[in-house]
Amino acid sequence: MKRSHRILAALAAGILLLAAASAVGAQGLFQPYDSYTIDSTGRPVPLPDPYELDHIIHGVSLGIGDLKTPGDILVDRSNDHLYIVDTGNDRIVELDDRGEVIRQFGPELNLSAPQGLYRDSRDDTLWIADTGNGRIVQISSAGRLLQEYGPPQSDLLAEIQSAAPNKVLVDKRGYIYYLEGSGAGMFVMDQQNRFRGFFGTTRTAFSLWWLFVRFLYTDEQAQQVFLAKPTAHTDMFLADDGFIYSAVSGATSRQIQKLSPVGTNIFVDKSLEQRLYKNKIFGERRRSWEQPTRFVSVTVHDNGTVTAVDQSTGRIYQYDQDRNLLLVFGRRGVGRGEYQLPSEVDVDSRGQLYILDVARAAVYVLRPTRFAQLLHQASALQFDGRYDEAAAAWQQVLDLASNYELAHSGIGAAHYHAGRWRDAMYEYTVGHDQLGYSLAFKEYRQEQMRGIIGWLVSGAFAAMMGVVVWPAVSRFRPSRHRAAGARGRIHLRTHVLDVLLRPVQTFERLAQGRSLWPVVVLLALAAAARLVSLALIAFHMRATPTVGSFLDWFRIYRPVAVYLLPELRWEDANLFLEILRVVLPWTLWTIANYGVSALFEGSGTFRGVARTTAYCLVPYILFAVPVALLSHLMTAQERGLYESLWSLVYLWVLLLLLIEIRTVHDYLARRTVGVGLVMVFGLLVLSGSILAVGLLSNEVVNFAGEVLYEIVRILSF
Amino acid sequence: MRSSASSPSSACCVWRIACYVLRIARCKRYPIPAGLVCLLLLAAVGPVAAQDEEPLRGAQAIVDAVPAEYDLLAESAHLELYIHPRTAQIAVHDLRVSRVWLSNPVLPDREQIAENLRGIFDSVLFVLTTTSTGLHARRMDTVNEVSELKIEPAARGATVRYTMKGDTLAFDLRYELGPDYLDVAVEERGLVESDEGRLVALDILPYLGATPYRAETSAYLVLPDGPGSLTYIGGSQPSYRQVVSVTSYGPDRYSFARPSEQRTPLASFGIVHPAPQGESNGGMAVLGVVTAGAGDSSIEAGIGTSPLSFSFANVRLNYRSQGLVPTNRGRFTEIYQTERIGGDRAVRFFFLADREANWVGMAQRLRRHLMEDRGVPRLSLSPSNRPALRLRLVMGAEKPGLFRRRFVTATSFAEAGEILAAFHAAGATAVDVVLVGWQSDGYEGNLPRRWPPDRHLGGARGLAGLAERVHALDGRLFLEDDYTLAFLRNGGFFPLTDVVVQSNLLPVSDMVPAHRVERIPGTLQRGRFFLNPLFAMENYLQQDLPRLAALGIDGLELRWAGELVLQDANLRHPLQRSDFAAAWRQMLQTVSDEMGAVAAQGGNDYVLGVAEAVTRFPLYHHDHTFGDVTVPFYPLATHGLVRIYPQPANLHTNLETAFLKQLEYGMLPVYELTFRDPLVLARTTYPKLYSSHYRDWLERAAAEYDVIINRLGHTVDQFIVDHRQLAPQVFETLYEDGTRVIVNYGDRAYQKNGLRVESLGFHITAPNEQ
Repeated sequence: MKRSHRILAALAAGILLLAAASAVGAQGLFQPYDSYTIDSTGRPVPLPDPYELDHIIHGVSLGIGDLKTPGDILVDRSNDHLYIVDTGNDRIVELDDRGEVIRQFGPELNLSAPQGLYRDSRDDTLWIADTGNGRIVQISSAGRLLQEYGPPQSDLLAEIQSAAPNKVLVDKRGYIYYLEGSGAGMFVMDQQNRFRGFFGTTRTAFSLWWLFVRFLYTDEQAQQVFLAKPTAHTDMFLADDGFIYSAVSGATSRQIQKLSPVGTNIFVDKSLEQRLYKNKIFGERRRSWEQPTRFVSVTVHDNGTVTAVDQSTGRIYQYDQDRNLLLVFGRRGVGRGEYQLPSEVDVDSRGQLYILDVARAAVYVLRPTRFAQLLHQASALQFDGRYDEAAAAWQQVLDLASNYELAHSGIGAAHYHAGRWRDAMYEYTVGHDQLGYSLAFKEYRQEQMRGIIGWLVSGAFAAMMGVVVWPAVSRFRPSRHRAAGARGRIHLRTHVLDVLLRPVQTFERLAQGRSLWPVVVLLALAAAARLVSLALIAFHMRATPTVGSFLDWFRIYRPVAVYLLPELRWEDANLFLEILRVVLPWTLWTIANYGVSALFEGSGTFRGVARTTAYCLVPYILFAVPVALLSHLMTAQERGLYESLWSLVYLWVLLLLLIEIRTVHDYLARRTVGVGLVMVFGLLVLSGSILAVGLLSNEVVNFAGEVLYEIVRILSF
Repeated sequence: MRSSASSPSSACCVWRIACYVLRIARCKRYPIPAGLVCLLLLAAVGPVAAQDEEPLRGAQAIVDAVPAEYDLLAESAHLELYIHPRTAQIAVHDLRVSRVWLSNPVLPDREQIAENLRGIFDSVLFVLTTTSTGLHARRMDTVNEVSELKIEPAARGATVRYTMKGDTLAFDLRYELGPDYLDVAVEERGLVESDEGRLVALDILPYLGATPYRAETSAYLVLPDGPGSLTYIGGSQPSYRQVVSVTSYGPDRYSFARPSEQRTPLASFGIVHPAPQGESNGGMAVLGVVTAGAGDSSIEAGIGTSPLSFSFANVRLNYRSQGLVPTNRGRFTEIYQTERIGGDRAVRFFFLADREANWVGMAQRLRRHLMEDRGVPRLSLSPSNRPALRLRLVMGAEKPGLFRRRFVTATSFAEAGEILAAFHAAGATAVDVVLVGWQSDGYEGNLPRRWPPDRHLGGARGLAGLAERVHALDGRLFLEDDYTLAFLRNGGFFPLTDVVVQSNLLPVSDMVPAHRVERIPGTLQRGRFFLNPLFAMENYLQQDLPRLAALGIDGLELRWAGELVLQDANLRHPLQRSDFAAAWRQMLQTVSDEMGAVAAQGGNDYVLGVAEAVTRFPLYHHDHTFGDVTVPFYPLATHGLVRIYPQPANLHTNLETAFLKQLEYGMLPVYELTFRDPLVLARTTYPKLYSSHYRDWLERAAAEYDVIINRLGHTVDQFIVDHRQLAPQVFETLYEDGTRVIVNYGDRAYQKNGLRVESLGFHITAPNEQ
C-alpha cells in the first residue's frame, strides 16, 4: 500500500505539473472582493464598502408573525414609510420611518397572493397587483377600495390573455402599466380598462437565421417555432421625471432600460463613437460557463443613481445616469454582506437601501457609507454639468479610493470645461476615458496646429515626393540586386521595396531562391513591428475591449483590428501571444497555399511559397509603426480615417498574397481567384483541425486526471 | 384554533425531518425518488409530528430538584453529580442556586410523543456512525440502539460503557466532577469499532441546558463566531433561523476562489438562562469548552429544529471527516474517510450561577481556565514590548509584463523609514512596523522562497538599515511572512508529499479537479498549494530565522497561523486538525524563541501564550442569520493575555464605528499604508488597497494613537472585568484597575449622572477620576 501510494503520488504530481505547463496566459489575480467596480479592462477593482447593515426587518421582530414569500417592497420617499407586500399571507404591511407597523391591509380587500405595489403620490392612493385574483386594485390611503381592474379588453389580446399582474404602476396620464409572471411584456391599459398596447418593446434584431427560417417555413410554422416574444421585463420603476426604468432578464445587453414616455429606451449608445468606445453593458461581462446576470429589481435614487439586483449572484449593481457602473457589492450566502435570494430593492429619502430577501422573508436595511454618499453626489453633479463642484467631490472620492477610474475622468471633465486641455488629457488617461481624452486632445491639437500647420503641409508634400521619386532612383543598378536576391539575402531596395512596387517580378525572383533566412528575419521584423506599433498607438486610439454591434463586423478592418489589436493597454500584451499572432497566420497560409497548389498543378516549391508569403508581410512591417504614430495626430472622430489606414495596410498584404498565388504557381487570373478561394477554405479547415486537436488533447489531459482520480479513490477508500 | 395554529409549523417540522433524512441519504440528485420519500414521510410521520409541539410545551431541562431514581455519584464545592442507573442520564445539581441541570428534558406528556422521538429526547448523546462504504451516516440514540450499558463508578464520577446493538460499536464515556465543572471524556483506548459501526461523530449531552421551541424565556446561546455572538432563543423566531454547525478553528475545506469569512477562534459555546426579571440572583449558565481534541470538534446549535424541537447548543466530536470524491464525470459525492481520527477527547462543562451567569461571566471563567489549565501567562510589558500602533507597510508586488513579470515598488525600505519618521514627528512614538511583501519578487511572488529581501526595495542591506532606523526611533520591526502558501511555478516543494492533502488524497490547490467547479478560468493565478506546516518549518522557516535575526528584525507575523486549520492526509507528515493546530503552535514557538516575538493572523486559541499579538481579528460576528448581536466574548476572555489588532483601520467600512468598536473591545490600532499611491499596485499580486497613501492617514492615525495608546495604553495587560450595555447603542467596558470606557454608537448623545457621551463619541474615565 505504501509503495503504491508513493507511485500514485508521483503520478499525480506529474499530471499536476503537466496541467501547470498547459495553463497559458493565466495571469492577474482575481480576488473575490466584497465591494468592487469594473475598470476599463473588465477587471474587478476593490472599493471601500458602500453600505453597511443597519438592521434586518422580519415579521417576527415586527410582531406580525413570519412574512411568507414576500413579493415586493416599496418606500414612500415623502415620509420614509415602508410597505411590504407579504404575498404568502395575502396582506400588505406598512411600517413607519421608525420601523413600527402602523397598518396592515389584506382580508378586507380579499387580496390573494398580491405581488406588486405602487403608490401614486399625486392622489395618495395605493395600487396593488392582486396576482391571485388576476386584478389590479386601487385603494385610498385609508385602505378603502376605490377601483378594481380586471384583464384589459381588447381584440388584439385574444391570444395573450393577461391574467395575473405582478407589478403595477400608474403614470401621470393615468395609464396603468403592469407586468405578468409569464414575461409577456409590459402591458398598458387606461382607466377604462382598455388595452393600450405593449410598452418598451425592443425591436427584434435582424438575423440571417430568421431570414432562413422565413424562407423555409410557412408563416404558421415559423410562428410556432420562432414566436417573437416581447421583452421579458422583470421589474419597473417610475421616476419623478416621468421615465420608466425597467429591468430585463434573459438578455445579454440593455438589461436595464430607461424608457421615455413614448416607450423608447434611452439607455443606449447614441453615436458610433459611443458604441466604439463606451459600449456600456449592464451586469458583468459574462463567460459562457457563468450564470447570466439576472436583474430582478431596479430602483432609482433621488440623485439619479440606478440600483439593480442580480438574483443569480446576489450582487447589487449601481449605475449613474450615464450608465457608468459605479459599484457592485453583496453576494449570496448567509454571512455579513450576503443575501440568500435578494429579489427587490428600494431606497428611501435618506439614501438607505432596502433589500428584500425572499428566501429569508426579511428586509435588510443598509446605510450608505461616506464613500457611497460622495460617489453618488459626485456623479449626480457631473450629470448636471456642475463640473467644478463634481471635481471637488470626485477628489474626495479619490481620497477614499484612489483607484477609482471614473473619479479621474470626472476631474478630467472639469479641466476640459475650463479649457485646461493638457490637464484634462492627463486625468482622462489615468481614468482610461478614451473618448474624453480624444475630445480634449482635439482642442489641444487645434491650439497647437495653428503654429505648425505650414510645416506640416510642407512635410507631407516632401514625403509624397519621396514616395514618388524613390522608386525612380531605385531603378538604377538592378542586375546586382537580382544576383543578391538569388543568393538569398534580403536586400532592402531589391526585395523590400520591389515587393511593394513591382510585386510580380519580385515574387518570380524570390520563388527561385532557397534560403529560409529571409523568412526568419521578416517574421521577426513583423513581430517587432507589431509590438512597437502596439506600444506607440495613442491612448485614445487603442482598440476597445469589446466588439460593437453585429454590423461592425462588416467593416473590413474590424475583424482584422479585433484580431490584431485586441489589447487596450500595453501592459496587457503577452509576448508569446503577440508573436503567435504574426507567425501563426504565416504558417497556416504557407501550408494551405502549398497544399492546395499541389492539388491544382501549381508550380511553386514549398520554400518558394514560404519565402514569398513572408515577403507579403512587408507592407505591415513598413507601415504599422508610421500608422501607429499617426494615431497621435487624430481624434476619435477621425477614427474612421485612422482605421482606413490600417485597412489599407491589410488590403495591401492581401493583394500581395493574391499576386503571390498567381506568380509563384504560374496561374491565370481566373484560376488564381478560384485557387485562392480554395486556399482560404483550406486555411479554415486547417485552423479548425488545429482547434479540434487542441481541444482533444485538453480532453486527454482531463481524462488522464480523472483516471488517476479514480485510482486514488479506489485505493484509498 | 389549535389545529390552525399547529399545522403550518408541524408541516414545516416534517419538511425539516425530510430534509434531514434526505441529506443523510444523499439523494439530492434524484429529485423524484426524494420527493416520494418526502411524501411517504409526510404520510407516516405527519400525524405524529402534528402532535409533537403541544406535549413539549411543559418540557424542561432545568428543574428544581433531582428527580427520583437518580444516584449520587460525586460531590464538589458547588456541584453534585447524579446518574440514572438504568438510562445513564445525568443530573448536575448546582448548590449555589439549588437547581438541577438535566442531561435530558422532563417531558410532561410522554405518552403523546411517538416512540422514536421519545428515544431521541431521552438520549444522553447522539452517535453518528457509518459503514465500511462510508456513504451514509446514521444517527443513533442511546435508548433504542444500545444493547448494553455499564456504569462503573470512579473517584469523582463514573465511566459509562455503551455497546451499540449488534456489537457494532462500543465506547466509554467518563464523567469527572470538578469544583465548578464537569469533565466528559471519550478515551481512545475504550473505543471498539467494526466495519458495520464506524464512528463518525459524537454529540455530547445535546440537551444540556436546552429549551423547548417557542418557550417564553430570556435565555440565549453564546457562539464563538468572530468576537462572539448571542442568539436569543425565546419567543417566536424568524423561520429562516434553524441550525448552525461551526467547526472549531474554522472550516475544514478551503476554497481559493471564495475563502470563508467565518472565524471560530474558540472551541466553546455557552447557554445562558439569566436570572428572572428584576432579580440579580438565580441565573444559570453552562459553558462548554473542548479541552482535548479541540481541532476535531464543532459546535452544533439550533433553534427549535426538528426532530429535536428544542433550542440547544452542544459539542460534536468528529471522528471521521468527509472527502469529496468523484463518482463520474463532473459529479462528486462525499465519503467518510476510512481511518478514524485518533486521540482522546474531552469536553469541560463549567456551570455558572447568579452574577456569573451571563456571557461576561463565561468569558471571565474561560480566561481563568486558559490561565490555570492551559498555562497561558499574562502579558508582560517592558519598555521594548509596550502597547504600540501597528503600521503595516506594503512594500512591493509583481505584475505581468510583456517579457517578464514586473516588480512594482509601493514603499522601499528607505521610504518605510521616512513614514516611520513622519509618524514619530506626529507624536506616534511607540510603533511596531510590519513589512508586507518584502520578500524577493514581492508579495507572494517567490513563495515558498523568500530570501533575499527584494533588491528593488533595497535588498538585505536596505532592510538592515531600516531595522536600525526603526530601533533608533524606539520602534520594532516585524516582517509579515507566509510559510503556508506556495506556488508550483517557483518549485521548492513536491506537490502531494509536501503539501496539505485533503482526505480524498488530493492536494488543496486551485489546480485540483474538485476545485474546477468553482474556478474562474484564466483569472486565478493558478498553481497555489498549502505547505504542510512541518515541512515548511523544517525546510524554510528554520533556514530563514537566523538570517532574519542577523538583520535585526524583531519578529515575524505569520499569515494563516491563527485562522487556518485543515486536516492533512499528507503521506509524509499526516496531521489531524488538532495536530495541525499543534504544528502552528510549534511554529510560532520556534519563531518566538529565535527572534523574541511573534504575532499570528487570526486568534484561534492555540496561539494564546505564544503569540504576543493576534491580528486581523474581526470586529463583527459573521453569520447574522443565526447570531443576533456581536459581543466581545473573545476579547473579554483574552484581554491581558494577548494584544488584539483588528483589520487595518483605513480599510474599514465605517471608520467611526470601527474605531469605537476597537475602544469597546480593547483592541489596538493598526493601519496598512504605502509610501506611493496604491494605484501603482493595481493588477499586481496585491491589488487589494484602495486608500493607503500614508499622508492621507497620518493625522487620523496620530489622533487614534493619542486615544488608544496614550490614554488607554496602560490597560493592555489588564483584564476586562465587566462589560455592560448602559442604553441602546451605548456600552461600557470596565478594566481591573477601574478604567472605564464608554462608547456611543447611537444617533443621540447619551447623558447620565452628569456624564455626556456624544453620538459616535466615547468617554474614558481614568482610575483616579473615580
